[in-house]
Amino acid sequence: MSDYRSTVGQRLPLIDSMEKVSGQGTYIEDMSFPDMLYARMVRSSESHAVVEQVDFAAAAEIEGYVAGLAPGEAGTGIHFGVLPISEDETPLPAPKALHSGCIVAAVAAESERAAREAALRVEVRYSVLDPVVRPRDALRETDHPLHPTTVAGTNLHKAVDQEFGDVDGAFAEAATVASGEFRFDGINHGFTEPIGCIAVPEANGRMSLYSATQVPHYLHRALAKVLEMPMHRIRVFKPLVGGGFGGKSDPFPHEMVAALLARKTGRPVKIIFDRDEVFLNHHGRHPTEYRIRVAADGDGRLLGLDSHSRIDGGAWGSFGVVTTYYNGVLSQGPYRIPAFRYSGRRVYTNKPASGAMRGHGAVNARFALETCLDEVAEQLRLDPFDLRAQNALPPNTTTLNHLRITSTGFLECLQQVRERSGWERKFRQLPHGRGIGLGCGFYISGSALPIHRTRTPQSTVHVKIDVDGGVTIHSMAADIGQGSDTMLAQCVAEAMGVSMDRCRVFARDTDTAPLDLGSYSSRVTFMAGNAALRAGEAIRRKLHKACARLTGLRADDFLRGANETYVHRDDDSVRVPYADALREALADNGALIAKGIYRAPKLGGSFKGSGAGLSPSYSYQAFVAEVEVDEETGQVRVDKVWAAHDCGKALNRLAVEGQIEGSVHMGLGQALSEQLVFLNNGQLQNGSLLDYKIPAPPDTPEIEAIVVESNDPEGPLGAKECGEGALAPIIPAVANAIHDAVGVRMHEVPMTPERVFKALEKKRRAEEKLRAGS
Amino acid sequence: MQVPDFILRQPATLQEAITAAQEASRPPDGSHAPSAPEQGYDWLGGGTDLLCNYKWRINQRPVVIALRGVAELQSDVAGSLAAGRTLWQLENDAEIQRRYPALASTAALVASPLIRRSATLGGNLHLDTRCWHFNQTAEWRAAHRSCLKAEADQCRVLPDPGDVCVAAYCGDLAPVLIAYGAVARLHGPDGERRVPLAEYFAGDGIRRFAERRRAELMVAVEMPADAEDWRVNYRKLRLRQTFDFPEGGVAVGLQWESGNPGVIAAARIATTAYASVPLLHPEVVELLQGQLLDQDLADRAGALLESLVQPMKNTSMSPSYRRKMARVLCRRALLDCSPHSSS
Ligand SMILES: Cc1cc2nc3c(=O)[nH]c(=O)nc-3n(C[C@H](O)[C@H](O)[C@H](O)COP(=O)(O)OP(=O)(O)OC[C@H]3O[C@@H](n4cnc5c(N)ncnc54)[C@H](O)[C@@H]3O)c2cc1C
Repeated sequence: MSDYRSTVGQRLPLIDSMEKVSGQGTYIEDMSFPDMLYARMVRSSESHAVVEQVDFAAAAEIEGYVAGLAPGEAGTGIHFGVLPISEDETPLPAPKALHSGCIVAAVAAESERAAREAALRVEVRYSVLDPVVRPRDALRETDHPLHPTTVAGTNLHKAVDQEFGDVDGAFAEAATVASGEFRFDGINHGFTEPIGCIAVPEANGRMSLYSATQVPHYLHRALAKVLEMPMHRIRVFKPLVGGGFGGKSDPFPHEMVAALLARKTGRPVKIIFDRDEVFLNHHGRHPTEYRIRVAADGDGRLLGLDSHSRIDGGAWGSFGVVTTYYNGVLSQGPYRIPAFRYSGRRVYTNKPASGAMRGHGAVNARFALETCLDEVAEQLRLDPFDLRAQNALPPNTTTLNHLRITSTGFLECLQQVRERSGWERKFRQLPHGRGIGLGCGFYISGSALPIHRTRTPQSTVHVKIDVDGGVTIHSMAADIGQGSDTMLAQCVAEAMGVSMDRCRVFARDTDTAPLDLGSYSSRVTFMAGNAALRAGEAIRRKLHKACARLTGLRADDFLRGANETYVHRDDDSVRVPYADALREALADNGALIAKGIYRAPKLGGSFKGSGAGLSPSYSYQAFVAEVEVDEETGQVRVDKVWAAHDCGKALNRLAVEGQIEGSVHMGLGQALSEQLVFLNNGQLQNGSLLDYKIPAPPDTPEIEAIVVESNDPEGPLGAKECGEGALAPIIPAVANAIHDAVGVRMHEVPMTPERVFKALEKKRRAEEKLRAGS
Repeated sequence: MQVPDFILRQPATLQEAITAAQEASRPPDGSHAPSAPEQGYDWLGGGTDLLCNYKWRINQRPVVIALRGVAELQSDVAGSLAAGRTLWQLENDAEIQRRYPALASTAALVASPLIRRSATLGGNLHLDTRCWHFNQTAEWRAAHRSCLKAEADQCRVLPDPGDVCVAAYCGDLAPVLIAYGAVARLHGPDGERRVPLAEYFAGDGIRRFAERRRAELMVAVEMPADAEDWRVNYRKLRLRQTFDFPEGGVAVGLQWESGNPGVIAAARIATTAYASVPLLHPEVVELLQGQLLDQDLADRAGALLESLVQPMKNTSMSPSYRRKMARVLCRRALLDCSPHSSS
């Protein structure tokens, strides 16, 4: 038998970690080209206005000024966007500026300093329109909708209405109903590396764009459209990316502006945003108002869910159509819900655009549902764990909206955190001011439907081996710090039965890499991982043929053996070292190449919107948080978090635990401190890392990351997602713990000290009134 | 983000520093408005406040005089703390921890460990006032058409401000040093003068100091001989456990009646972040004097302080919350002073 030793489940440092910590790695900021110019954006001082005129005369007096780009110039008015159904962005206003701080023009200069000075001197004349700032105002009719494509003269961007089962009947027969109106502030990704790109006009007339992006392919398409060039004349290159979390998953106006300026000047053009510009670019989590009702029978069986969301899209569409669906459909797990109604409304407002952010579309809805479930348990005097376990979706079922459920480790997640957190002796028993709470989750492992209607596989991976024995892997899966390069190397090495350090991953360049849709919807490990495995297996079959030639035995009878050998399945004294097999395979043949592909199976129903939420598999979570609430100040301190996540199979334990910890930390930011604050006219008030409050190390509790493995039948080596789903559950876990501690239900997120304090004051007043009355 | 160009002077002695300042400044025109961008100089301590503002093009000056090389600012002389001392040093100095424990522990509450490595005592005390409409990029302010303290002639906090700026003073150390009774030692072309810190700050968010003399700088902070007899405590309101400026801060200093610990002979109460300068609260002092410190007294003092502070809507927490928290901060700071408390 084969004694091949797999790396699966080990703790593997990411393959690019030394490069990064030593400073050797190359990010956009590290790159430069001969004759490169620096561009600086001119940003709108108005929230809603027609740009009448842009005057570069004063800017041109700055030494080093080279060129300006203004609305009306070629390409600046061409529409693009990540979703073909809402291509509503343009490189520059055409003709309207849609939020304070949006890009209205740009200047290119010989130095960054000169570009900054020049940009400050550009004069823009506006004809100002009333801004729409509050979502409820956006639903009114107006003479000046933000986009010509809106619904019925309002600023409604997308409406979703879905109903399955007998919802009204469910509520009529319910023994208990929990409901609430929730409000969520917008939040930003807060990635480390500011956004940036360099456009390089090549001597042969092609255009190269180097960009810190999660979606090279969608960027490639958008550039082709805006530059009106065929895709093969454009090259997109992704260097190391310092975090994305969804904030680099759209093609952006500044990328188009860089390319247009490069074309205009014939010189490379570099753009690096300041942090405030990152906040203005935004495309983060939608500010959301959420109404929900949950019905259950007397034993705690869920009968129905009725929810409504109003989400604030800001100036552009981005992924918003998907967000509108996800706010509903992703509430169909991890529980069996026999009747379900959802209506969602996404509106345009004159604020920085909302878009996709880690846990896209699921986080706010999840908070509302998990909070209500806690209330249902309270009303029925059930333990919150028992309530959830009793309603868990079983494996191999289908939800009402036709989501196909295969593997699930949800019950094990529940059991693990229940035991490890000491729930039994803590819940409803801790001293006043201390509390413990549960929150659960459910997330897609890759969107099954590609954004563009096409039969091209969602992921393709190429593998090449040559005389040096190294394994070259080409893919366009975008490593944004989450470790997908490491995952590709591991999958290929695993499939080939060779050491990972033979692998070098080139997942950077659309000229050389086969298509991959990019890093969003938690798709990369599942899809690109499967493609990588298949590519590795395909090339191993070629090596096995060489083994057959060398031994006179059948190729199919060779297996992966220890120390990079191929071993005969029936006689392990027959061993062919990888090097020998490779030499034989190359003879008279040259370098070996192979590829693997992944295409999601056909899933789902045929009703309108049935594609939303479809995924080849789903991840599950159960988290417990223990908190302490200072009743005099409203300050909440999270002392400890137990976080169990079903990732199918931990290919790399270190990476999985890192993702769980990172998700918890990020989720705690939304839970307790992060919020975008806007002035009445829509201007962003707190676009800096001092005023936008991301938790710091001293604010971060001990996190026990618990890996649950349900071994997904279709996942690569059993794996499914672990980068996004783990964010949502921590927020309701904290809210439910606050309730356990001091008896208030928080319906506004983030749960800042001030909000908790107010809720406590309200409760105190109510209690006093009660006492006075009795 | 780039720091705009300036001329950097690096004097080695106090005299050189003062001369450099005299050369860089024009005679004061008597007005308190910030001088035009093309005029004047700024002292540079660790730069953790000044250069952040420069990056946002806030009131930058053509000349910056770095104080790090000035020998007289680097080492303490008996009974005083040199202005060039970093907060990191204040926090970790065993003697300061022993003699002025509240100073060491408060230094540890400022900004972040990295910032405290370069932030100086002098810079902290002279920290510029802060406001949501002021600490913003040049483009932001241009779009917002604010503020009095920057380039515009209107204020977004008060509807009719006159020429009064309500930006908040947010330094953490000033109230604590005031509670210890510390005295500023200043040096200028006319030699040295000494001003109790309690009298040093005055005016509004732009003026900030009772008397600012041309080419004068702070050399040291003198600790009075009886400072060690005072029990001092400081409480800070902030969202995160690091980075954040105070949204409110209360320092209390108490002296017990001799032979009668727990009974207050003398008190000092100072707050930060509630106004454009650190404030003293004689009303609260009056309430405390001669009383036995207990829960009830602390409650009443807190309630009184709450009624006295008047925060503006120009930081991230709401004025009403910040005001209510003054009560909690005050009560807790007082109770921490009690003879039975460990601190
Ligand atoms: C993210 C962040 C968080 C912060 N949080 C806090 C906080 O919580 N609490 C807090 O108090 N501060 C905070 N700060 C502000 C600042 O870091 C500290 O106040 C620090 O002590 C300032 O010292 P410095 O030496 O760096 O000052 P500088 O920036 O060098 O100078 C500040 C001002 O003081 C003047 N100055 C400096 N030295 C002298 C002198 N000897 N005589 C006269 N004038 C002088 C300068 O001209 C300038 O106007 C924070 C800053 C940042 C960036």
